[in-house]
Order: sequence, then structure tokens, then C-alpha cells
Amino acid sequence: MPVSTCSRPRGRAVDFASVFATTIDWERQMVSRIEAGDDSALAAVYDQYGALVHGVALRLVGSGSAADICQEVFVSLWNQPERWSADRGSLRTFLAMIARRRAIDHLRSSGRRTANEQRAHGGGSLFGVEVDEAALALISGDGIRAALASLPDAQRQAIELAYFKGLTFRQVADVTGSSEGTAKSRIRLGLRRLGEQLNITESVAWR
Amino acid sequence: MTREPTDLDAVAAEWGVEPVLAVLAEAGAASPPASTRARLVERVASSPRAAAEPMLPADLYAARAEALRLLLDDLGDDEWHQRAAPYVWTVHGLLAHLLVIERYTAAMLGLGAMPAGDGNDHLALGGDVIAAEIGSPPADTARRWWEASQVIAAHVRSDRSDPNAPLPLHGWPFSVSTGLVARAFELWTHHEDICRAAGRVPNRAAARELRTMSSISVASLPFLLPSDGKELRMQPTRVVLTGPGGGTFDIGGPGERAALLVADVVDYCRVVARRIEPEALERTVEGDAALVDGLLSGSCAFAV
Repeated sequence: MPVSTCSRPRGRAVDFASVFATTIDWERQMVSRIEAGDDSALAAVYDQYGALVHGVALRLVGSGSAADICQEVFVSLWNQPERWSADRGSLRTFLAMIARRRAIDHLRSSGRRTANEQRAHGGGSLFGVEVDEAALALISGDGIRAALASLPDAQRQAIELAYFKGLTFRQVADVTGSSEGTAKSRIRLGLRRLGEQLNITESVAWR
Repeated sequence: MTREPTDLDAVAAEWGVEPVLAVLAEAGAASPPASTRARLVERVASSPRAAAEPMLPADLYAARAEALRLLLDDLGDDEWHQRAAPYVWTVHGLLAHLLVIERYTAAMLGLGAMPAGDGNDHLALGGDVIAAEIGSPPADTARRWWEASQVIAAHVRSDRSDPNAPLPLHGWPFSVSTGLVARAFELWTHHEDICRAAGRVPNRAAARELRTMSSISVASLPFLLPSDGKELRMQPTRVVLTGPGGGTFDIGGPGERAALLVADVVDYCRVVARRIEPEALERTVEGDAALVDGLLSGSCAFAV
């Protein structure tokens, strides 16, 4: 299938149908080629998902280490392509998850996450304005911004802490002054509502 | 460093919200510095992925003979008498043909008498032997075929055999090594023929076997291109064969790649064996499609 480069339209709503038109078939073939040792397939996957992976890392660790994490994610795909299975979700999702984990590992190892947690705890507001703005500024889709903004405050805040800051449910609960169960419930409900608002269904997903 | 998923990542699949998280990630996409791609390409080039280790051609031949013996041992009476397409022979007759070819190969190795007939006429060779075998019990033919194959296997795996010595077969100027790979191809192909005739699903050949057969075949493609009869000039081409036993092969010399062919390794081997028509091969082609067509057409030149 034809696959464009990773350039994304900025400043307007993401066309999800188009985004997900990169089908599982293409991903399967690319990973089969990578398994066969075809480095040009890895380059093609990078061209398609490099910005996604880099964006995930950038949000969490900043520009200092995001490029290195991005590279590591693709090197890990090269070394262990069999870790991805189309039966368990798209390659896109897989790479985004790996990027998050690597970025959070980086934060943990560098101690910066602790600083983030302290910052989240400190100040007069639950979320320092500058932190919220910085996170949201990296989200280019107006539709997603609008969907996030439409969530109940408690749900949106919990998602921001858990997703954009990589905090555990326990830590989200501490920051928001709620129980862990409540924090978890808010995140789950908020994500489901987000999915509904963005019309993210199985038909446009990847299974 | 401990590598623990965050709570959210750990439950994302269970909650069914992975697509939502991916959309959040997608919307935050930010192109990495241009140097990141260059560094990635350089790093990957310095650590090529390990492919299945090729086998010695003598071991490959022995392995395919053993695989066929196991199949034959398991055949029921009815299965021996099924027609083995694309031939007019039954399974029994096909095995009698193989018996002739083992004896022919042995003769070319200096190990026995040459069957009657023209060695360049693969299918007509040893017609008298085939006729006689068809009149005997299949188990006897199977035993004689196995014994003939083991004469070859024992010889080519011994110190007496020079892998680089000439072993012309049916007019092709093979060495012992390449001739054994061609013979292994034949055993593998007829193994599949017999399975199909018997209504069985053939087991996939081992990765190392497929790797050996496919790599030798792909390496020969530039030399087989003219046999297609078209005026095609070999140019740098990447062949990617997917699945266990596959690999990535750059043929046609250095320089800017003119074409890319991606196909399943087993299907590719079936093209080489003339069990899939080249134009029917499920493939992905980029670049010079005519060149790829020519390479595939030439790939089956050895299948007689």
C-alpha cells in the first residue's frame, strides 16, 4: 500500500480515517521484511512512525533525550521484530507504547520523574499552568484538544497526569487527593469517553 | 535498569484503550532531528539481522531425502496410486522416476551405472526402470530409492567428495555443491507433489533448508536473466524473501537499487521449482518491474 512520509498536518484536526488507513497489512509486510533483514523496511517504518515515536518521547523527556529514545525504539524493533504481533494491536500502537516505556525508564533513571511529581504536588494549583500548556501544546490536533477539554476536569486531569506525565495510579491519587480506585476509574472513564468523542472504534482501529 | 510498564500502559489492553493512547501519541507527533534517521540507518547497517545458517549442500540433500523417506513410510495403499500432478505418473511412478534420477546422479559422480536413455531428457530417462518399478510393490520401490539416495549422501558427505568438482546434470554445468542443491530442490518439490496427490498438507521445510535453497537460487538469478530471451540488463536489485529461512539479498552489483522484490520464501522456491507460475507469485515490487519479471522467469530455468 502507498504510505506517505511522516509529515503530519499541523494546527488542524487529525483525519483519523486517513491516519488509520495505514493498514495492518502494510505493517505486517514491513515487519516480515525486517525479520528477513531488510533495513530499507525499517527505514520505511521510521519514515512512517518516527514522528509519532519522537513525539511521545519529547512530551515525557524533552528535546535533550527524545531523539536518542526514538532511535532506541527503532533499534529494538530491528533487533526483536518478533515482539510485535498483529493479533495484539497495530505496530503504531506498539511503537508508541515502547516509546512511552523507554521514556519513563529514562525519567526514572534520571530522577526527573520525581521532580515532576514534586512540581505536580507543589504550587497553588493542581497542575501548574505551564505544565499543562506545555503538554497540550504538543498535541497538534484541534479535535483531540477539544475532546480533552470537554472531559470533566477530574478525568482530564487524571489522564494528563497518567499519560502525559507517566505517573502511576497511586501517584495520580496522591496528587489529586483521591483514592487510587477513584483515580483509576477517572482515567478509564475519561479515556473511553475520549475514544467515543474521537470516534475511535474497531472499524478505524487496527485489529 | 528495571523496565516496568506504567500502570496505564499495563492496563491499556485490558481496558481496550490502546487505540486512544495511540491517537494521543499520533496527535503529538513531532519530527525528530534529521540526524536521527541517519544515525539509525548507520547503526542498523552495522548490526545486520542474523539469518538462518545455511547448510552444507550435502547435508541439505541428505535432509530432504530423509524427509521424503518419512513421508513415504507413512503413505497408505490408496495414496501410492494417486496421480501426482503435474505428471502422468502416480505417486509410485513419480518415486520410480526419482529412483532413476538418483542412479543418474550417482553415475555422474562415478558411483554406478548410467540408466538407459538421454541424460539431458530428464523425464524420459530410465523409462524401462520406471515401467518395471510400477509393476512392483511400492514399498520395494521406496526401499530401492532410499538405498540409491544413501549411496549419494554417503559419498558427498565423505572426504572423498570435492564440493567444487564438476557435476553436470541434465546439461547444466553444476558443481557437486550446486548440483546437490538442485537435487535437494527436486526432492523437496516431489515431496510437496506427493503430499498434494495424497491430499496432505506438506510440512514446511526447515528454515536452514529453505535458506540454503533460496540463497543459492537467488545468487544464480543474474546469470539466468538472459535465459528469459528478453533484452534485459541486470541492475542492482534487492530480493527480500520473508518467513523462516528467508533473507535479504542484494544482487546485480553495487550502485543505486533499480528494483525490489518481496515474496514469501516458500512461494519463491515453488516458482523456482515451477510449481507456481512466476506471474502468479504473490509479491511486492518496487522499481523496475520488467527486470523483476525477467528475474522470476529465469529463476525456474533449472527446473526440468
